Amino acid sequence: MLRRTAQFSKQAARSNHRISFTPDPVKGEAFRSYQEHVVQHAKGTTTLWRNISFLSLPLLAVCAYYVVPKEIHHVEHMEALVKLPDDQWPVEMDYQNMRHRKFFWGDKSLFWGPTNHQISKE
Amino acid sequence: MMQKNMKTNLYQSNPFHLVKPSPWPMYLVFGLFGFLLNLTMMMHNITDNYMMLLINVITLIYIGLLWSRDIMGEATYLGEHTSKVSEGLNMGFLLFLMTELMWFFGMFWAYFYSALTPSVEIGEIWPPMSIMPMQATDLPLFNTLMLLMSGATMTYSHHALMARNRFNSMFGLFLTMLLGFLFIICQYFEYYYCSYTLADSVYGSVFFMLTGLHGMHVMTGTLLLCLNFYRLYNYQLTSEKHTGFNTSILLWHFLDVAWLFVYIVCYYWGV
Amino acid sequence: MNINLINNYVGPTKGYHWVESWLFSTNCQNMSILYGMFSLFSGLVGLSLSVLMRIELSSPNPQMLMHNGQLWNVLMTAHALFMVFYLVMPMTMGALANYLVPLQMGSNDTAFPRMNNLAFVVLLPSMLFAVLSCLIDEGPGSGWTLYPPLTSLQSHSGSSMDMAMFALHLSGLSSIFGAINLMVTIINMRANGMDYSKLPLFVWSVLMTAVLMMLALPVLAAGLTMLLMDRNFNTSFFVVSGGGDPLLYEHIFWFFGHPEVYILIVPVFGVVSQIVQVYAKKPMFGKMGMIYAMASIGFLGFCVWSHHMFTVGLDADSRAYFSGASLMIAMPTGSKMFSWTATIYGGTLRWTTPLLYAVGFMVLFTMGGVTGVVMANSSLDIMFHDTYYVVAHFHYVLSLGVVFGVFAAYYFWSPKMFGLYYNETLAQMQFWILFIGSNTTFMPLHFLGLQGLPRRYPNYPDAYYGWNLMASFGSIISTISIVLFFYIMYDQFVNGLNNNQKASPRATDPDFTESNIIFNKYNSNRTSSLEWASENPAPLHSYNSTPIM
Repeated sequence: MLRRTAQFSKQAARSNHRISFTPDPVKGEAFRSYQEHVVQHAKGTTTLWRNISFLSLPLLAVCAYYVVPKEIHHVEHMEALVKLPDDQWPVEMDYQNMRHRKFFWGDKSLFWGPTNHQISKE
Repeated sequence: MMQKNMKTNLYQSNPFHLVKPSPWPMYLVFGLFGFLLNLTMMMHNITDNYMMLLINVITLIYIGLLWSRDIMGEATYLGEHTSKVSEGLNMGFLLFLMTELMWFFGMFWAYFYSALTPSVEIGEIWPPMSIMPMQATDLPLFNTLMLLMSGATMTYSHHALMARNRFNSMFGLFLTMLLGFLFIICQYFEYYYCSYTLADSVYGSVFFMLTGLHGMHVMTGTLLLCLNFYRLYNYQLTSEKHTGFNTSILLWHFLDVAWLFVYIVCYYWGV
Repeated sequence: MNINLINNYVGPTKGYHWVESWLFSTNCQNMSILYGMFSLFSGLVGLSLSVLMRIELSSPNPQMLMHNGQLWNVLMTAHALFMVFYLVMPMTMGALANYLVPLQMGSNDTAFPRMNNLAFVVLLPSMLFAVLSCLIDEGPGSGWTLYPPLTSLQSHSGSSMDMAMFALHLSGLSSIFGAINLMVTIINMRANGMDYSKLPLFVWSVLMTAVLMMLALPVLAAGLTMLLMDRNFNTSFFVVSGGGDPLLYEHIFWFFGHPEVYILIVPVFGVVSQIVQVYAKKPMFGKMGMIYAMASIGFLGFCVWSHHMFTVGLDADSRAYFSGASLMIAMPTGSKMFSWTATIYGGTLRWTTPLLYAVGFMVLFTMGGVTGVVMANSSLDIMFHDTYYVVAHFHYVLSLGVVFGVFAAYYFWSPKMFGLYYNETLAQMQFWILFIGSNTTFMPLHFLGLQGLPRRYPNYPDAYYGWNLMASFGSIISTISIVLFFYIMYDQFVNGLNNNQKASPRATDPDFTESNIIFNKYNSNRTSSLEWASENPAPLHSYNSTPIM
């Protein structure tokens, strides 16, 4: 079997595969210089994108500063709404809180929060 | 016959990856079948055993990890991913994103169909009466900024990787992961404090379908980023060759753009 | 073929344990054979369901269903699902494409072999779901379209409808994986010098089909997901009381559904092109035109979905547009038909079984196409909608078009796949029996439809008795031909080396391939495309070294 193996590798070497597998130094050099170019280029762009990333961090903070109080107020408002007596609740339309059947985990939808109780049909 | 196989095994005169037989597809399908069957049974109250569903999900994730471990081994240690193979993988992932795009297309179709000509049953207005829509300038704005920024940090990480800068690459990827997690958490709170549910008319349905679909993809994307962070940490990604990282970046940018559409349509327009 | 073939057997299973080569396989040829077996099995299921339906319809009074309309509906749904999703798609885009695309382009395997395996294995639970859904609860009695009010909870409250939807979901998953795999294979893995203009037409047809699958099936998945949510999670996409609209589902479904019928037929276009040029001994007439025709059929397929819904109350402008767009599809299809005819014209014909089937396809598909042109007119469709005329139309293009093409492909390439020959005489007999049987079945349906018999009913007034009886008789003839086909396969596997090779595509006479620019140097076999240049069956991973064109 080993002899056969050796025979085949010889055959392979003799056949036309040699043509396709001859190294091409020019192309190799081109590939290498292209890679080097990519690295050099990426160095510049890394700085650029790092700056963009870090500059947008304060932007995010500003946005959070703007959004968080609003959200908290919003949640407080909704929770106050829940505590209203029954007759002052918003009118529930026919198309709201539809239950063709129970969810298989119960009657509440998956993200059932404190603000959803107001329209529970139970 | 033996000659044939030996020839094939001795040398390979093509740049493609001849994959060895793999059990994962079949095992994955066991998980998939079990999951869907149990889901059907749960939905129809034939059984109420959550454990079976859970086991199936765990199986699916576990097989997915084993499969990706195989791929990582082939790519990193066996050198099977030649540039031609990488090209193919990239292309395949792009085509997969195309299918995702068409999926979103179907969902957006549902949105536009319901929103452009609201039916009589919901008073021919959009959003329907007595549904309090979310303000586009509240939490959704923060979410949008976060996703856009994560696109920037993603590029930062990618370019640092190409520039052979390990620390910056890992730092950028870490920031991206962080923003991804934050996005998911914010989405959770948004859902939790949302005044309507998916059962509140077609408005709630399409809203939760679109944002939920996007959110599930963000979760998948974050999982992929974690995987890439692990690979980066283990020196498996090089500056020339990081196909897995590339595809994750493609997914992440796709989700960015998809979110912009979801944001405009679901939060800005739907008010 | 001599007896040495057995000793030199180089089929795709050698060298692996059977578990590795059949269950964990990552070899496109194994996957192809698995797909083929799967599709044969589901074809038999679909055929037997259709025979049951024809028996029921053989007389105006109930024959065997005993007024059980739901059972009738389930039979009909299952027949459609099995034929479309488990017979034709696995056969063309699974079995044929997996075997032939790598061979014809000179690549070793498909691009993502594991995903290829996944695409097949996902079909098994998919079909399991389809079977289960028919056997438990009340069954999916909605037709393959699954239109919502009928598939909602109030009409189908049991789990069978969910299972049918999961079956379609999984089948879609399989098709998407298969499509991505084949597309990347075709784009990325062509042999050196095999540029797009030299790609055989079958590979082109698979590429076009893969694009259609990639774009169409996710839309179905979106629609089915919404349907499942409506049923089980209280959403109201298609629920009128919640502000939704069932019509939305019809739009989404047919945006998938119309490309889907081209997914079924386009690979067969490729098959017929290959067969016609081999047995007419001429290169394809207008090959570029054929490619562009397939591309424009695919593109137009996405622009015409509403012609399935002319009676739902679309406004006149939409109906005018969809009529016009639908009529336009006749042009590329017609140009394909003329190109095939022009290829045959003046050729040195060898009337072998594959060519018989190909010509049968051309004749009958043209008839189906002509009735399609009739129905594309929205004003006429008001009359034809949901009558047997529609049934006759799509059975002429699918049953007599696609299935004839698949038979042609089997007779053409099965010697390639197995290295074994079928009995040519029996095969030609099988063709003629099937030709007579299927025409006897479906031709009367035109007349029934023109007389106004609505489809999807288990009963009919006595006036329709005659043609219905004739159709039922035809289905028995078709069944006989299928039985004969299985005998031919048996004979091929047992006795294949002794059968004559009249139909062999390896031509012994001088022919056009001698001057074929694709292989002018190496083509000692004088074949028209690359797959015949290797052994039958093809060795493991097709080629030891990438062929150079």
